[in-house]
Amino acid sequence: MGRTSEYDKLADKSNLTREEIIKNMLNKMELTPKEFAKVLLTDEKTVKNRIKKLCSSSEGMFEEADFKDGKPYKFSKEWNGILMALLDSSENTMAVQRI
Amino acid sequence: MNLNMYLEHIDRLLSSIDTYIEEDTQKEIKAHPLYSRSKVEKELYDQIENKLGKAINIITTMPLSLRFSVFAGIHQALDSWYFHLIQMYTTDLIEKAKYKQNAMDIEKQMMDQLDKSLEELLFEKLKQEMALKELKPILDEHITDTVEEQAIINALFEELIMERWRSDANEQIKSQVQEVQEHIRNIPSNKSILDKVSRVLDADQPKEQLLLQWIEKILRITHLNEQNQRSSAAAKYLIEKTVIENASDAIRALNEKNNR
Repeated sequence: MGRTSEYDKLADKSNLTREEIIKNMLNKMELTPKEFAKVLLTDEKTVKNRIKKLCSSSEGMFEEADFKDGKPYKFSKEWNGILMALLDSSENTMAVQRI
Repeated sequence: MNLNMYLEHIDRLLSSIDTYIEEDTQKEIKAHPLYSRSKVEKELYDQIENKLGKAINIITTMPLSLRFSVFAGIHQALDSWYFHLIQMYTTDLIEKAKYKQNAMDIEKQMMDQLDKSLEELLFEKLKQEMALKELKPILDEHITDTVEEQAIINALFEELIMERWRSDANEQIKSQVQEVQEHIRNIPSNKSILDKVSRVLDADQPKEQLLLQWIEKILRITHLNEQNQRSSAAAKYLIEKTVIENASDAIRALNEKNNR
């Protein structure tokens, strides 16, 4: 139930719901950590931290600048769905990839 | 990370792919052997768990004397199985290292691919899409937007607006052309010129109608030249050329009509 109340709290902040972001915005337009946070039911800081973790576990494949447009984080429509899938499943496990 | 956490992670990743990734990319990922392996891996684990559970259930209901010997048997079997696993593991590493010594780069890549996790596959996909995105504006520019091609498209459209090429245009282009012509006519400065002229010239008189048409053409040329910022010398040349061509064509047509 904790998840539901957290979701309601997040949904109140703007008129777009999590489902609406997934359906109408993801893979269709550029997104920011704010929208990512809403979809992943967390806050912007956690989204940024997960990206940092993803970079360090990618063994040099990615750096933070790849996810930024200048200074702010910007997630292009061409790849934000893939990034979302990686971040959603990265809750505790991003650091270790194999057993 | 223990096995359960790993499998949970894979499970989450599998459902995330369905939820967030766009359909075409999804299809590509799902066609990869790593995807089906990850999917089956989880199912296999569940089945192993299930089978072990059933075995334990039987063992607990056995007569105590039999249960003891079953325990002893399992204990021994697991020991030998454990050594068997270690043997498999080291053999695999040695075989791969040996094969790689003589393998070509592409074969090495394929072998490495087999040992990748689903997450690493998504990393690769992400990297690929990022690179494509960087490349796309350059590709688009080269496909449709070279200076020469744009100039040709503009020139053709101008020809249409000037009515030198009307018959070959399709309906959509024709209506676009009419829109532009209408727009040029309705620009305030042009409108006031046309209003003044139409008060003096009679559109029902063939010669006067011709003059009206020329004036309108000159207004179009002037407008297009302003739009294209051509040099004034080029604009002057184009106006003269068009007026003379149109005038001689029109006069010839008019004469033929009168002579009939």
